[in-house]
Amino acid sequence: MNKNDDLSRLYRDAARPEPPQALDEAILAAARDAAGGRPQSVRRLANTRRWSVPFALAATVLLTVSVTLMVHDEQQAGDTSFTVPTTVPARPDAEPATGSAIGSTIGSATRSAKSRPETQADTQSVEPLAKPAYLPTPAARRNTAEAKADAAAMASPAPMTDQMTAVLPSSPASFARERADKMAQPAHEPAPAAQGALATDATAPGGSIKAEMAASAPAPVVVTPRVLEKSRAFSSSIRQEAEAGNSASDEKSPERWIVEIRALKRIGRTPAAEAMLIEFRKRFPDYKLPDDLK
Amino acid sequence: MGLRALHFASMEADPEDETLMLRYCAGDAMAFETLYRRHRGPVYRYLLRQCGNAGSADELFQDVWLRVVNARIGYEVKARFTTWLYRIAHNRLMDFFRSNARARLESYDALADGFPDDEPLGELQVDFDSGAEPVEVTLDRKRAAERLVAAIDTLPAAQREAFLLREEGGLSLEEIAAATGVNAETAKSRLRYAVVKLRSLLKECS
Repeated sequence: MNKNDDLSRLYRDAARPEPPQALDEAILAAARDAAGGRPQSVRRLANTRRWSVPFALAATVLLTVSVTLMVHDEQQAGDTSFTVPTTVPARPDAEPATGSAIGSTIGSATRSAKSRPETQADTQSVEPLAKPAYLPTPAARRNTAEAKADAAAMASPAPMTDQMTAVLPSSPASFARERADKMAQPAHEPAPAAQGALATDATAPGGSIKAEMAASAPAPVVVTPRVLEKSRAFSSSIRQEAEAGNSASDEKSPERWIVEIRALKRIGRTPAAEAMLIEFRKRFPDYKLPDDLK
Repeated sequence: MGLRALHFASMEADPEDETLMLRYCAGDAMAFETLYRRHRGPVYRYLLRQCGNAGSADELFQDVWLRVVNARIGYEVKARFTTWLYRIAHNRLMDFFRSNARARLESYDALADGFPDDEPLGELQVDFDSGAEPVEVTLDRKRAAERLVAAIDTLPAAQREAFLLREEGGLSLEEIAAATGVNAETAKSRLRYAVVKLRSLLKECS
């Protein structure tokens, strides 16, 4: 390429434009900033790293506290407001339950189903009906004990007086419906979370008992403290009638007396049965007693 | 002291470009300044004569040097600094052609189609070596230089680039090939075609 030297010389003689001064200054300033900026960026990075751990810890604590509070609130809401399917199936093999017991068990089943994976919920959702996983408070336990006694009296085939028949609704469903109508006040409306939980359970695959109950229930009833109180009073009245036996027995037929006496004997209330038998003899001295009551 | 004087002074006394760049990578801003003074003119002219207008050349020039600044992290000496620098300039110029000067890019691409890069130069070489009368003999030197610059502007972009890289950057054929991403034969072919055309254009003017 030495032959091109003449062209090269001629080219060098041509005008040689150069970049503007401002461009030189701008580029050199940028280069200086970049060279000086390097430690600065490292320092900034170091600062970020220094604060990253405290920030992460603070965020974790904040998240934990908020989740804990949320769960706590949810639990409180679950304790004070249970949803009860109104058609509680009569299970002769299962422990009889009053409204409070049902509320507790269904409430616990709902809660446990919410907190467990769906497969677990399906397999364990049967349990609470026989043995609630949820441990009730002492007061609730007391109520449950009372309710068991009451329910035991009610469990006999037909020891019902006319008054009892009048007091008792025709079916648990209608009872629940009546209660629901009475309790249909804004303050006692079911909590959205509880409703949602029930709805979720009802739509859950696997067909748990809970879901079936929820599906067959006409409408969920909220068991509030007021409902529990009324339920307790209702049970108490039945028990008193069963024990007294004669308070509202003037109109009873002899056959009904005998049925009730037999029921008292069957549940082990022999003194009450004997007292009732004595009263029966007083009222119906001419009636021929069956052999088992002689 | 003028920039040109500073440039020549630095060329003589200062260390090599690669050393300066490494010093700049280590945080020595003065090393970059020396490097910049050394190459600012050639790079600017390369860009100016390739893109054709001063405004775009300014923009491209600044962009090229900012890329050099940003490339300081992770810079390794794998080639001559000049080759690396003009490689950056070439790439930036191609981007510019694609987005702003389609005609010049087409001119660049057409060259490859119209002139087989590895074609033996044969007759061209004969003409080139025929001992043609030096152009400065027939033309006034100053006017000849102006005409040369005008002739350069009429060259296809790739040939012009090869010529400018040799004249401004002082790159060898291999370095031109590396900077423009072609093989050495292609670079050689482009350069020769550029020279032949320039001579031809200058002869016509004379």
